[in-house]
Amino acid sequence: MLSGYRRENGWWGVRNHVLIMPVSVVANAAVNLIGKEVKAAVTVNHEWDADPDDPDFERIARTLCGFASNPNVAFSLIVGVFEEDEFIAERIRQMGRETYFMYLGKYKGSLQLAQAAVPLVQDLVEKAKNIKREAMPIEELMVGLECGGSDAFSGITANPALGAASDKLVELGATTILAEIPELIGAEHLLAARAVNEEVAKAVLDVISRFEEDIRRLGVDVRGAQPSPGNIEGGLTTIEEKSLGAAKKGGSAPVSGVVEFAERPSAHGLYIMDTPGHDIEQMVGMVAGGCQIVCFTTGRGTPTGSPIAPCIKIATNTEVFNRMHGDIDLNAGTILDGEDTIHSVGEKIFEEIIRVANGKPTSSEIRGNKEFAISRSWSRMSSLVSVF
Amino acid sequence: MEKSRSLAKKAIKMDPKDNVAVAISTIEKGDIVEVDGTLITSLDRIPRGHKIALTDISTGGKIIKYGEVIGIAQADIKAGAHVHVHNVVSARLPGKTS
Amino acid sequence: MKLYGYVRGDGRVGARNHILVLPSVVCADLAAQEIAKDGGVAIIHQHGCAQVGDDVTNTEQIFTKLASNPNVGAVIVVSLGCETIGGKKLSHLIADVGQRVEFVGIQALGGTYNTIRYGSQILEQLKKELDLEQRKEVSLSSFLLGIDGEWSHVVEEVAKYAEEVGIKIIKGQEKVGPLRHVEVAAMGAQVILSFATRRNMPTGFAVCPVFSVTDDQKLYDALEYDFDMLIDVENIEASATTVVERLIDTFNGFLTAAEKRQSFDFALPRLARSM
Repeated sequence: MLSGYRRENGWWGVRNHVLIMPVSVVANAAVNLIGKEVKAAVTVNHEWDADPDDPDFERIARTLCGFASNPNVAFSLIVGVFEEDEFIAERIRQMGRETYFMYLGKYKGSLQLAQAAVPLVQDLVEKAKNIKREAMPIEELMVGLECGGSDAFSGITANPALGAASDKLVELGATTILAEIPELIGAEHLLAARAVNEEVAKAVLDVISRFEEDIRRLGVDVRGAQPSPGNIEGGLTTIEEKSLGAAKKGGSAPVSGVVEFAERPSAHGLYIMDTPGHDIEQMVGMVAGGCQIVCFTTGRGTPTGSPIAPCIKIATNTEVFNRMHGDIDLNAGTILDGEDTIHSVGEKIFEEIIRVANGKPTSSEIRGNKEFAISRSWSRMSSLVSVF
Repeated sequence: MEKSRSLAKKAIKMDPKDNVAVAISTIEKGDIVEVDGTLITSLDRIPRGHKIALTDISTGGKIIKYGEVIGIAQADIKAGAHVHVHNVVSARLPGKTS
Repeated sequence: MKLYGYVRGDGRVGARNHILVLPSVVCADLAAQEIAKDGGVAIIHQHGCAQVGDDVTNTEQIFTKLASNPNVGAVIVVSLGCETIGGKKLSHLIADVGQRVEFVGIQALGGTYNTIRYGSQILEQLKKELDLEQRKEVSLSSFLLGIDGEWSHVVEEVAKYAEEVGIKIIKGQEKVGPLRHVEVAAMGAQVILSFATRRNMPTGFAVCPVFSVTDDQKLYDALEYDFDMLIDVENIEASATTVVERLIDTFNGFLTAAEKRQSFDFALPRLARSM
């Protein structure tokens, strides 16, 4: 039995956060000062300067708006520098979500704005408490599928098990998102073969070949990052090997479509989102696209989480589950030990997703991991290198 | 000292077409390794999670895992050898060597 | 005008005596932040993994130079263990340039809780040692002033006066704002003079105090309490003198507005997108 918070625009959340978000790096301090006073609120910081000439302006604006309008957020306060920074809040309102906006210029200082904001945010926290959970249709669930700190067992235990859970969700009418495009190189033909139509099949192949073109243009050796040093130590030799294992997170369901970074899928089913493999950029992208929960498989062990979405960590092997016990939620390593099958762990993951949706905190929520990142698509080879 | 079948190390073969298997625990040089009911002698030390060759693979040959090509052999690889970054490159991203 | 600072082993002088807690990768941010709580300053960032080529070496260089900025008395590197910008390697690079460095790794220590506990103990120990260090009087030529701003007439005047009294100027090429702060701090600046524009309003930085000024009355009025000074356009020469005096005060320990509000913004100059 799934429960959640029904929002004003019809979306459903599984958490009830009050989020304070800066439009630009200049507002970070004010946001933090508010957060210090109202501990129940969630704050994020980032490094964007909101430059209108930024080639990634649209991508980053879409990310911030998508993130703040995620249905896990009951109310948000957007903090800007000047009055025109309200454009972020306006876009959130256009998505049908309630949001508040304050700008530093009106209060003449960060501390001054924070002092004025505290009563408002305290009110929002109280208002949020009055929103009660209701029975939530499972079709409203959107789960992000992620892997980080992968090793050779990722593709053998946790990823296939997550894929089984993903298949079950999709079968029930829910939505799951597979991302990390660099980690699909070598597996894209398998995904394209499962596309619901020709257009989607082409989109799947395109999104991967676009990335390959990008790095060809850059002239870099991606092997320095994909696979990462930790992946290599863990047994993964090539990006194809990593990708074939990574793609298993998507199970065997048909691929319904491909979406841009932080773009919300237009229908239900398994979607592919264009994100980098970077753990946090990817997570932020999926949450900005609407994911209320992220399932994150890990072989080497990583504690990262999201400020507003529960992140369920699934170990690929028992050794890391035991060693990093406080940082991981589930153990798929039992498949290797012979105690479980991919199917049975898939069931456990599905059940945990429901429990977490209904309020059970994940280890990342208990610890307070709330990593946040903006994601860029452009690269520059600057002359900076010569300075050093 | 001879190792009996019950004490053999294990490696997992993901697909019948595969020519490599993944070591579930670290394999020492000379260990007997069980893969899908057959036994193979390891020629190298193979860390946990790393791959062991199930057949001979010549230079330029395809490394098959999950039933798919995961790389190209950069040297002649004997059955039982450690298969990793020292003798395999990606078929998709050669890139520039640094 | 006298200058007082912490004299380092290589002869450089610090305007601060920070214990810098530096996560080598974003995944170590929380651990770093918790460790830094009682007396350290942390650089919280989103980088360290999924980077390639020159972008990696550039990042390693920047982190190494920030960690060995003369304002930093000691640094604790917090690593996850599987990241591209390897924490262990980074701590070796930092040690190689003679900086006092300690290391904690989340995967090696078995998780976040252990890392925070262990790292906090290290910080406590470092604090005891660093608290014993005292400022000494030094020559004004020990002062490297980083410039965060385009080279306007006002900037030129201030720089000219600063140089007259012996202060060295570090210009930088990066985009103004946090990116420029990182660049000039990596080049050894102990204090940063930030000339605001609409696109570069006051921010702060963990490694160096940032002194924010403007000659634009409108901008100053918008963020009066976050600025350090308004430059009088009618009397630039006198203003330049005052700015330099205030900068020397800052070097000597006076907190900037950014330091008072705990503004620790950070942006890393990246050469390539994440992989």
